[in-house]
Amino acid sequence: MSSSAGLVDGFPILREESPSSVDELADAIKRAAASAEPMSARGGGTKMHLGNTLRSAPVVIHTGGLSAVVEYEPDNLTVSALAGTRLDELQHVLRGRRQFLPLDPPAAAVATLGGIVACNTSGPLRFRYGTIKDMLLGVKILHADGTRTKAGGKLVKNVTGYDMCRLYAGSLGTLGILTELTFKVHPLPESSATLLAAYRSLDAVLEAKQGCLSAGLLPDAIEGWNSSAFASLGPAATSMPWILIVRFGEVRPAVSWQVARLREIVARGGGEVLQLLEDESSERLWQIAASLRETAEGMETALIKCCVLHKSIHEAAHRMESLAERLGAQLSVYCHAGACILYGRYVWQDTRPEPPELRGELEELRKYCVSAGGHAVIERASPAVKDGIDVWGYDAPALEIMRRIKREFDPKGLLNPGRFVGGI
Amino acid sequence: MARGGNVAERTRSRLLFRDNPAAATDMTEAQNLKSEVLEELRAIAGPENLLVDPEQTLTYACDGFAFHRHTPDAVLLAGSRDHVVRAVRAAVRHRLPFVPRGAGTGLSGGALPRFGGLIIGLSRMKAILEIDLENRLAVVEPGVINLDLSKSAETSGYHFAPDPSSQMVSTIGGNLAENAGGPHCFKYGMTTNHVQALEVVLPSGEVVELGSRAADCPGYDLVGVFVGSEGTFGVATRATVKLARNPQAVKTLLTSFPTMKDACDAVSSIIAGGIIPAALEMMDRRMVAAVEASVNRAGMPLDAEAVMIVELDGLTAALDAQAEEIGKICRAHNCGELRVARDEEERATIWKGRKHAFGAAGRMSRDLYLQDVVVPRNRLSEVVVRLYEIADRAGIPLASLFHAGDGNLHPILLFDRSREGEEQRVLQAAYEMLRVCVEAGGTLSGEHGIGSEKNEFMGLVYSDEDLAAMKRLRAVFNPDELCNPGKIFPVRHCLYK
Repeated sequence: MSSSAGLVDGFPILREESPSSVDELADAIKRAAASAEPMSARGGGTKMHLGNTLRSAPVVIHTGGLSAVVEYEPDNLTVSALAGTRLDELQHVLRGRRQFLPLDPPAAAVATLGGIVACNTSGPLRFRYGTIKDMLLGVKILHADGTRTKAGGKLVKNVTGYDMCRLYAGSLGTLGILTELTFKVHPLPESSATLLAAYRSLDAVLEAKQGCLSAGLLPDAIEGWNSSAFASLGPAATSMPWILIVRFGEVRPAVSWQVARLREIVARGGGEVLQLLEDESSERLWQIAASLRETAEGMETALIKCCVLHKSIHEAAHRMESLAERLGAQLSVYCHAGACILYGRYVWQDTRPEPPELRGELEELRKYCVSAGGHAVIERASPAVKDGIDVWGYDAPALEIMRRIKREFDPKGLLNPGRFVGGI
Repeated sequence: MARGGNVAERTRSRLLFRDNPAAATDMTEAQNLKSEVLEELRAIAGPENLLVDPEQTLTYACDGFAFHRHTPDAVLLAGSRDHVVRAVRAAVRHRLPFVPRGAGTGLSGGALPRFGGLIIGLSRMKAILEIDLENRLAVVEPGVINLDLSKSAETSGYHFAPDPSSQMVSTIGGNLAENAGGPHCFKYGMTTNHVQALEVVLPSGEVVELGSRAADCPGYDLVGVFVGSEGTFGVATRATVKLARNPQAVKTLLTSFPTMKDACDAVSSIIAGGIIPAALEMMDRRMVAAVEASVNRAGMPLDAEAVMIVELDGLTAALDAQAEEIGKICRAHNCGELRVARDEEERATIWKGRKHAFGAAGRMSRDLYLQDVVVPRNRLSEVVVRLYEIADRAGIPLASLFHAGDGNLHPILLFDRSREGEEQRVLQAAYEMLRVCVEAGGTLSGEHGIGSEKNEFMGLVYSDEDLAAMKRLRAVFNPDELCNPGKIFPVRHCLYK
């Protein structure tokens, strides 16, 4: 899952730094800045493939040495941790007080908090709890010249100055290197359950989603996966092409009530209930499920994230499928049906598409998403495929504001240069 | 950063903006706007929508924070995005400071035209353009009143979650400029958690779309940065906001405590106990007395030191167990009678009392200073005690209104500015309250914003480097600071002084 040693996204690196304190990290940044060397921060290394191809060999700065829960205040529902802390470690500490950070990005055992914030990664739980931006209360960050700043704090309400947390979250390490993060945490629900149901079409899955919402259910997650995606999850077999996966977390009577309502919705919509998983078995399922979209083995793989509106989910999925047929790939579709986000993961086992052809096809798919009022990001593809394109596919006029932000915060363009939108 | 005493000196410079003796000067300035500028501004939305007569512009001299006043040179009541664009461009061309304004209910001077110039009024732009239930979104103009949006989505079972107490009058544009909160943001988050995309007229006069209607717009989160920028990053002319599903069931509990400490400890225990109420509000004895003496009386007990409103919402099947648990915790902290609202009418009465509490406080004294501070929830009881001590030492009566679940405190200082020295003592006490909260890990504002009220105190929480990072952002959006000048940052960090 992590990139090969000595390479970032297939590109050679200049050297590596592994600071074990914030002071050392600041020194490492200053050293690189003094000789105008580009820098890429690396946490767990699970997202080193994300972004445009590199322009020059960077100094890779590992943040894994900055790992600790700094301050946990269960009766304030806040926790502060160093950026190199792995998500799993944090969850372990929180679970001791029956709390959790309601975020389930891929590879929680490896991914660090800094990486998750920088990449704004999320998972199925976002339907109920939002993304990391909704949980991030405070940051400490080192800027391109090594100066330190902080923003926010450990307060759930805070309008003291501009919301810098929102600026840094999702900025892919292009504005600074995060050192410490404070999050709002949640109580663990008393009980949880997951219902799996098979359907003949994605449309029927989407109808079930709308059915859940109009019935007033409050699911934690509503997912629609195709059978290929579901096969690797493997708790139950089906010959039907689409699977609805709904997760609930509440006090026990409220979970039972919702499961009963969902069973009715499934029956009405022509679905077939495959399985109901409760508590620990439900938790285990999601631990596996969260990482699947990122765990592809093959001669060639690609992952595209399409964000659209409800009415275009069907067409986006259809176009994903035709692309797979044309290029002879196996396609897994992981759709956050609630948030209207589709991840399409393509795997080629024995053959390999020509990079320009795959590039062209992905760009066509993206064009559709844009024409439907959405957008699409090529999250994973080999450097040969990404060569010469902006994987973010964002060229709205606001890009000019983003460029100005980059110039203000990193005037020499040393932090992860070229990898973000529009080559920022 | 060290900040000694001598607050009087610093606040004196803030008080220069009050227009008791200065009003006359303002009016002269207004008439000094060059006639060609006036002509240009009149042509934008028609002469009837350009106010220059001092009798009319005086209304715009302050917002809900009446300590600072400055009459604008002109007020343009925009009716469309095009009006806003032309107004901003005219202001830029003539180097005229300009300030966007919604309903003017802000409580930190966000809509104060601190250096005169042009107010761009947005309250006429009040069209709800689209309710998109399939995607749980609404597209609105900035002048739409907060509650009107919720009302228009109500029959479909949705609402706009941010619910500042001003929601009957405040606008969505103002809410997003200030990143407004409200009692229910304890569970549902602030305004920033509910904005998806914006159309913005930048301080340069360009129009841009920030964010996107679909999730996870690539690039820096410009929507997240714009929300809460207090009108210094431009004028939002259209907002795509998220709608929240109305809860299946709501349970509202009212109880009271013999001491503030008991009440605060109960709050901490509820939070530690794993229940997230939709709202967790508190009022002190003096505040309750004012509410109960007003037309919005809600039957709150008058003999307790603190009254608490706990609202639970969610699935019917979940609420009974939660209400029982809350009851247990409150009893463990010596609560008095615990009343559960029997029906929607009783619930509405309780909330009416709460939401009009600040108005009711107006009966208690000639002038009010409403402070907005926030502390970690596990520090509530110790901080609250110190707030009362500060008020006692200053000899100023204090009434309190807390979004306790968020650690967001609104101590209200009751005074009479006609009495010699009282205003200075109030400002000094308000400043000491900030210091106490910051020392406890809190900050300067939870929901009202910094504006012109607290900009000189930013050094209490931020270093010069921290502020420099924020200034970089200002330099991107508002490089010549014509857009709402003199806000958020201490004046030494501003071009307009």
